[in-house]
Amino acid sequence: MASNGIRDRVAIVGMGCTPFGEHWDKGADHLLVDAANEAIGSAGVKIDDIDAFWLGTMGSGISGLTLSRPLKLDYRPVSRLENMCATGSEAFRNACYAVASGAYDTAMAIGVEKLKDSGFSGLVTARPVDDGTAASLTAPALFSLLSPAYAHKYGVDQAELKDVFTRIAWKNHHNGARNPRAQFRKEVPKEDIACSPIVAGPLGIFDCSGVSDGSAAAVIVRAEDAHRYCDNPLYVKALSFAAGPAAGPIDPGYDYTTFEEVVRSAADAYRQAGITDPRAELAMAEVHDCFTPTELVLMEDLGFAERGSAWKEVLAGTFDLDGELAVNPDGGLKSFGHPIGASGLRMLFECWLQLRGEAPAERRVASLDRGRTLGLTHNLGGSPGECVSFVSVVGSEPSA
Amino acid sequence: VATFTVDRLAFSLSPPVVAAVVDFDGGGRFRCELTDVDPESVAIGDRVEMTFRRLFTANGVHNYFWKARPVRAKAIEEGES
Repeated sequence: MASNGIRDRVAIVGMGCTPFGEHWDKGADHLLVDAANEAIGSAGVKIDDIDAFWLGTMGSGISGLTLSRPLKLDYRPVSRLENMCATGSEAFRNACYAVASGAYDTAMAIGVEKLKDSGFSGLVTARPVDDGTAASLTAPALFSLLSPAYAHKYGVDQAELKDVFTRIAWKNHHNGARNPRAQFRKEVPKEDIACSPIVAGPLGIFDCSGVSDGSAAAVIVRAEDAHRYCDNPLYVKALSFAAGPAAGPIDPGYDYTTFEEVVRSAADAYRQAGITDPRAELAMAEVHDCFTPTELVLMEDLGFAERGSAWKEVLAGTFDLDGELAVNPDGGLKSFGHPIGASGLRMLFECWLQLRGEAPAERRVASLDRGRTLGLTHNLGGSPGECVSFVSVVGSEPSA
Repeated sequence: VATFTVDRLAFSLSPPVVAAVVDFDGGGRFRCELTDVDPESVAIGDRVEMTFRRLFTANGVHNYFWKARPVRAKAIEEGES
């Protein structure tokens, strides 16, 4: 995969993130205003100082007007993007490139989703009309297809794999309980997770991410200007995106134990950032744990665990807050919630807090004390065999 | 059957939706509903055959398409699967 990367050419100098959850008293406009105000406040700028805007939302509005109206951005450039559940990351990626190109001095990436007002649980999207012959499966069912395939390929007992999924949900609730902005701020006993009502395959409701409302935003400037805005900017080391062939449902070559899109985008991002051993070099990772089997498979696809071994690493606590590489220290999609367009930027928000030493002590990742300075975000859109994948690496230190 | 699930949220005329990724002898793959099957008994490697069934009905219009079902014992004996 050819890419030049923009390592250390742009930096984040301010971020904002609303609490995620059920905001019955707020619309998308309110959430956007809240996130944008926090972001510009933390960068010490006014909204008029931002030259251009990239808005990510899957279904809470169309066009740049969705942002220009509430923020009063009259006559400024505002793009609206959508790339399934990786929408927020896509807004960030494009805003970074705009600043790196020199076209603008300052840009804002902002994402929003208002999911709770639809009258349905889960993601509601308007799909193009088709001939009605496709099997209609829900998102948890599509991701649950990973479970028997993984168990079969690596000879793991289904009951043991269920314990692994439970361990992932338990960890992410443990982390989210230490995060005042998370949707679910309660630790949940493993036995409650394991016995939760079944949704699809082996997945219970506690294996599924939170359906929520929320917004998050970042202010991006050229790296050489960053210290004019803040003392401790977050440098962008790598941005990678891969849209797969989407042939998994018709291609017997796909075995439902991996996301090739993630493998490719991770390899590209590591090359851009100069990372050779992600597990040993990253301080933390925010990954797309839409359902617990997804997080399991991602540990292997992102190179954090050997093929077929991530389930053991999960049970051993490798990815806990005090483990070798903390994964989803903010609670992840599972516990922080998943307002689609905001999630990619929410992941960056945790990197912003953790890598700059601003995360509260009760969820500070242990590997920071070992001198690690890099964080990874991974955002997935679609389902196994037909998806897009985004990987970023950010760091608190400019490269030597 | 390459992998499978039981979707307890999706709509079906015969709930719950038992879904499978089916690989064909000689190549090709299709993801569809299984029918005439015990949801608890499905396993990777099961052999299934296609059957033309009603998927949806709306406004009195029936939409027929392919589902899969376990290969019947007689066919297995005769090696016709």
